Order: sequence, then C-alpha cells, then structure tokens
Amino acid sequence: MSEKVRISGAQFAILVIMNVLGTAIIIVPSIAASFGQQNGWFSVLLATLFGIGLVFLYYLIDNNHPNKNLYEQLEDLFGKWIGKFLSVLFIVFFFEIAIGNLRVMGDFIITQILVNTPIEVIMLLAVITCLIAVRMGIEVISRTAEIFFPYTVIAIILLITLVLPESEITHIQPVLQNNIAATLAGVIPLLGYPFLELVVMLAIMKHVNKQKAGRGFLVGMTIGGLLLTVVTLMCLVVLGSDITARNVYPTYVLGKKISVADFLDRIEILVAIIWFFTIFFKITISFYVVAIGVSHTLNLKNYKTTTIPLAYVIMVFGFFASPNIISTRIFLSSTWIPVSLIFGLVIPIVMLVVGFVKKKI
Amino acid sequence: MNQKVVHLLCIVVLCISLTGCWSSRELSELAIATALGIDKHEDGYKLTVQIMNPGEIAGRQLTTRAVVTTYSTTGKTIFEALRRLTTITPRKIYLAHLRIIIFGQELMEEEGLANSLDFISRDHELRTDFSLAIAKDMSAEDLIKVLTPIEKVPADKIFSSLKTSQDNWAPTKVVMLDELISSLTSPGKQAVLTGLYISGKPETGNHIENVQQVDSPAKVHLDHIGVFKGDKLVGWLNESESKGFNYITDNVLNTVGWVECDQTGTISVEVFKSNTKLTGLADNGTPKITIDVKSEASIGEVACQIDINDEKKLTEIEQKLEKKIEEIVNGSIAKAKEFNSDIFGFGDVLRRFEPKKWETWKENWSEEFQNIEITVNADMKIRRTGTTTESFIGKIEQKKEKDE
Repeated sequence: MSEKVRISGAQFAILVIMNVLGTAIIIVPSIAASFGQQNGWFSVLLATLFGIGLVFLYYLIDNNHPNKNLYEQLEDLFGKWIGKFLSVLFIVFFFEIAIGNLRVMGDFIITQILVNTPIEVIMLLAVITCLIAVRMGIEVISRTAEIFFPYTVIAIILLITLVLPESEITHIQPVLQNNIAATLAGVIPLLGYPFLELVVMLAIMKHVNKQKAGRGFLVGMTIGGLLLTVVTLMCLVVLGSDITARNVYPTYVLGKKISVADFLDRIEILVAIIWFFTIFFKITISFYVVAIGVSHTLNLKNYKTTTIPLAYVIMVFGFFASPNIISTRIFLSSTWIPVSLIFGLVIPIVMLVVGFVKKKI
Repeated sequence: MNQKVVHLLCIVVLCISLTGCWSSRELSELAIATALGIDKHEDGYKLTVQIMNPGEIAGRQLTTRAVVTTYSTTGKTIFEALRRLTTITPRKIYLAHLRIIIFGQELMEEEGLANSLDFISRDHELRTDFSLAIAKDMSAEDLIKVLTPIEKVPADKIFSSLKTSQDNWAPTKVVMLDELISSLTSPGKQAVLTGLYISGKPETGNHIENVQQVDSPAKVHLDHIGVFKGDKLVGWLNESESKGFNYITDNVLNTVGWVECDQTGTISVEVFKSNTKLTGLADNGTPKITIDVKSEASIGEVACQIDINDEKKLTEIEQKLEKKIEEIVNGSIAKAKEFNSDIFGFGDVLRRFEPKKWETWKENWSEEFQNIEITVNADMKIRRTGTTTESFIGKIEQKKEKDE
C-alpha cells in the first residue's frame, strides 16, 4: 500500500514539468520538424493546448475519487477483477515509459558523449539512482525535484539566451503558409510523446492537497509545454528546419552552437544537465508508479518489496527494448500513438463516464 | 550499524563507477588534427590530415622541426581512409579541434560534395565550428602541406585569414557546415565555397625554409567564391562578382570601394555598415526580386582634386558609389544566371514572400531563375571624411601650376 504522504502544489507542478520535458526535450524538435518543417513549433504548441485539455480530464477523474490513486479508482469503478486487469495493463504501460526513457537516455549518452562506454553501464547507474529515489518514497522524490528544478530552469534559460544571437527569423518564414496539413499531422505523434504519458500523474495525485492539485497540474503542463515549444522554436530559428529534422538530438546540436565572444565555448554538456534531471524524474516517477501498482494488485503491505526485483527487470527490458535507434524513433511515431491514446485518453474518458453514471445511480 | 555498512558500500561502488574514465584519452595519446584535405583518387578518396606537433607550439625549447605534420592515405570511403591513417600515424586522430576542411577541385567538379559531407556531419567527434573551402586548380593535399609564417599552425592561418578577409574585404566568405548543408538541400538555394590556392613556388611550401625567409616562397592565397550547382562545382566568380554576392546575401561587414573623380584620379571610401533587404513578389506569374542595399561609408582616400567640403560634390560621389554597387550586384547576378545556379537564395526569398506561387515555381526553379526580374536599389550615405576635410592634393596641384 502507498504511504501517507503529502506533496505540495508547487512540488506537484514541478514533477509535471519534469515529466513533460523528460527525454521529450531532446527528441521532440526533430519529430516536430520532420512533419511541419519550419512550422514544427506550431505542432508543439497545438499539442500543448491538447495537453492542457487533458489536465481537465485528469482533474475531474481525480476529483470524483479524492484520496484514491489510479489503481484504487479502477477497482472502485469496474469491480475487483476488471479493475485488477486494467491495473495490470496500466502497469505495463508505465513500465514501457520507464524502460523507453531509460533506453533513450542510454542511446543519447553513448552517441554523443561517452562513445566507448557500454550502454549497460550507463543504464545501470541510472537505474540504481532511480531505485534509491523510489525506495525513499514520493515525498523525497518531490522534494528532490524542488531542489533540482532551479538548475534545470537556469540551464534552459542559458541555452535559449546564449543561442539567441545565432538565430535567423527567416528560417521559420513563411509562418504557417505551407505544409499546414503536415503541421497538423505532426501534432499526433507529439500527443503520445510526451503529453498522454502524463496519465501517470493520476497515480500520485491523491497525495497532493485537493485544491492545489488541479492548479499545480495546469501550471506544470502549461510551463512544460511552452518550454518545449520555445526549445523547438529555437532549434528551428538557429539550425533551420532541415538540420533540426535530420539530427537525432537537435537540442544538443543547439547547445553546440553556443559561442559567446570566442570565450564561452563548448559548453553543450552543461546544457545536457537539463535532460539528465528531467529524465531522472521521469524514470523515477514511472518506476515508483509501477512499484505501487504491483504491490496494490498483489495486495502487498509495502511497495518497497517490489522495487529491487523491478529494478532488475527495468534494466534488462531497457536493454532489449529496441534493437536500434531507428526502431525507437519509428516506435514513438507509430506504435506508441494508439497505445498512449488508449491509456491516456480512452480509458480515462471511460473512467469519467462510468464514475458519472455510478454517481447518478 | 548494518545500514551504515550498506551506505558505505554504496559510496565505494559509486566512486568506482562514477569516475567517468571508461574511455578516457589523455592529451599525450591524441593526434590533434587541425585540417583535413579530401581529394579524388582512383580507389575512392585520398585523405590528407594535418596534425599538430604540440611540442613545437607549447614546448619550452623550440626545435627546428615543423609545427605540423601531414599524413595521407586512400580509401573507398572517407571513414575508412581516416581509420587507415592509424597505420602511419603514431596516435589515433582526434578531430574535435579541426579548423578547416579543404576539398580538391577535381573532386568537387567530378564527384560532387554530397558523399564527402555525410561523414563530416555524422561523426560525433566533429563539431560544426570549422570552415570549408576548395583548393582551386590543385589538390587539397598540396594546399595542406604549406607551412605559414606568423600563425604557426597553417590551418589556423587559413581559418583566420578567411575570417579577417570576410570581415574587412568582402569578396570571400566563411562557409560553415550547417550553412553548406542547408544550401545543398534547400530547393531555393545553391551552395558556394571560397577557393584557396598557393602562389609562388608550391614545392617549397612544405619545407621549413618557407617560414625562415622574410618573403615566403609559397603563400596560401584566398581566391574568390566557387559556385555550385547541385553538389558539383560549376565555376568561379571573380572579385567584383564575389563582392556582389556578399552584398546580395547581406554578408558585407566592412569593405573598401572606389569611384572615379570628375577629373583623373580616384576617391576611395570605407563601407563600414551595409544592410541588404531582399523582397520577393509574383508579378503576373514572373518572379520578381527587389534588392535594397543600404550602406554607410566614410571617405578613406582622396587621390584627385575634389572639394569634399562641398555637399553637392559629396552627393555626387554618393550617387556614383550607388551606381557602382548596382553594377557590381547586377554583374554578380548575370554571372550566376550564366551558371544557372541560384546561389543568392532568391528561391528561398520567394518561398517566404509568395509561398503559394513558390510551390509552382519550385519544380523547375532553374528555368524560372533565368526569367527572374531583379531591381537593385542602392542607397549610400557618406557620414564622415576621416581625420581631414579637404585634401592637400588640390594645393599641390595649384603649386605645380604656378611653378609651370
């Protein structure tokens, strides 16, 4: 069973921001630019608006069942067995988020930074760190997020302001004239990654003070989505749509562009701090939610029992998650869309409707 | 107690694994490449790499050995050739500090640029802050071998003279990788690269005596801009056409220009500020481009009898300069039309201003480019006259007349 803990509204908002940005910030500009070209930023903006809409859906669900997490709600709504069945499906979904992000992070580090290091070592270090955090509990995770958040924000602001002199507005012109259809189509992969993944927050929302949960969610989603839009915009105006789409990690290339007076040079690794923090929290939250889900479904007394075995499984599955980096990209822009739509949108809507009907009866 | 032991164990394990020295390479194990030359070869490519000899740059006692060393090898692909270099170099080549990549002219004309560029943009070790250029009428290998005075590392000399020349003289251009790839892939723009050549006696270039003499026998010169069509080099612009190219693409930071005076003699000005705005328009289906060049200048040299205190005269000079800029720009466009290559990115301009029309032009842009109508409006303002007003030349001329 989950602990009796409290998370403040601000901490919850920070966790939401971290979950929106986690790994998405390195890959989203490339996906967006490959669809909408110079209008890629608009796809991200539209997806953000959709994400804000999602917040209201999740808020209503949580409001119907205060003090219950996602798994408890599912059992309440659909009865014990169907509820448990759906819980297991959700656990698999969250598990996929955890291993997917772990793999993306590993791939990124060995492609760009530590080329000769085996990916297992990097993933193992990340999993151990996440395991320690998960065992500490959600309260500690939230407070850690609060400590790291300013550094993340500073790193993003630094990145944006330092590359500003390199930007050329002509790269994104004509604004919203060509490729309108492709720009709109570009919204679809962005829904699944990262916005629909935010359904994970339903599992920890009960720890947040009731009035503050909705506002924290809304603020977090808006800030996270806008940061993603701004970073995509910067990639487009500095690198151009072609290079943004062609690079696997355009945000890192953006960091490489920083050069102030031939003096502040080659600091892209500082920029990488942004996503080391965000990815850490994204994996940790998914890991934690999987752990409480498993212990809830199996009626275990303490979720910590499952954490160490789960860490092994996440590590191994992360390693075998995808045969190569291209299949990760294809997975995110094909398979992941219907999967995340089912878990992030369809089931929550069903939950809301069933809850509404049950209340009426 | 038990918990303490576990914590201690964690710390020890993390200390070992977090040091980040998995694939560490010390400075003494690296061969720092400063320039890369790529030539065509019957086996595929010939790769020449210029490696810094660190002892000669930062060593306490300088010897008479050369500051750089070059190695050449061939391979079916560039990547293969680069790795094959390990059979002749003592250390593995480290590319992160590369300053310049030079392509041989033959490679550019016959095979094109695209195949050699992919490795450069894909490899993680290469950054994007180096410049690219062409060895004009020679192989890149010969060009990389030349030792240069003042700047010890020849690649540094080429890089900084490209930059200085672009900033103060205008007919050359620093082309970086990102820009080159964007212009190669954009449907509305063609690529350009600056050319380099060796003047004097190229064969002495790789001897240390080249830097021991006051007047080096072999010098690396910057040439003008090479025009690409697709990814193949099709020709060269001359000096004034290259300058026109930089005026159109708003790449003039500072340059010198001259016009004839009323009588014999010339007057030169320093253009210290220049802005170009391109606007596109579809006029009955014909693409139209307006080029507005706004420059500010100061008088740098008066070599004729002219009273520059007279504002009317100043306006006359301004008009002459404007006309000259218009001529330069038109000449550059005429040459580009001759090569049928839209190096100025007029297609991109039209894409921004007339996105709907552009879709119809895009397909056969090289034909449409021939029909493009250009209007050039130059606007020159002379702001200052240097430290003197009227030149003393007038006085000297008067004196001469008196003596006669």
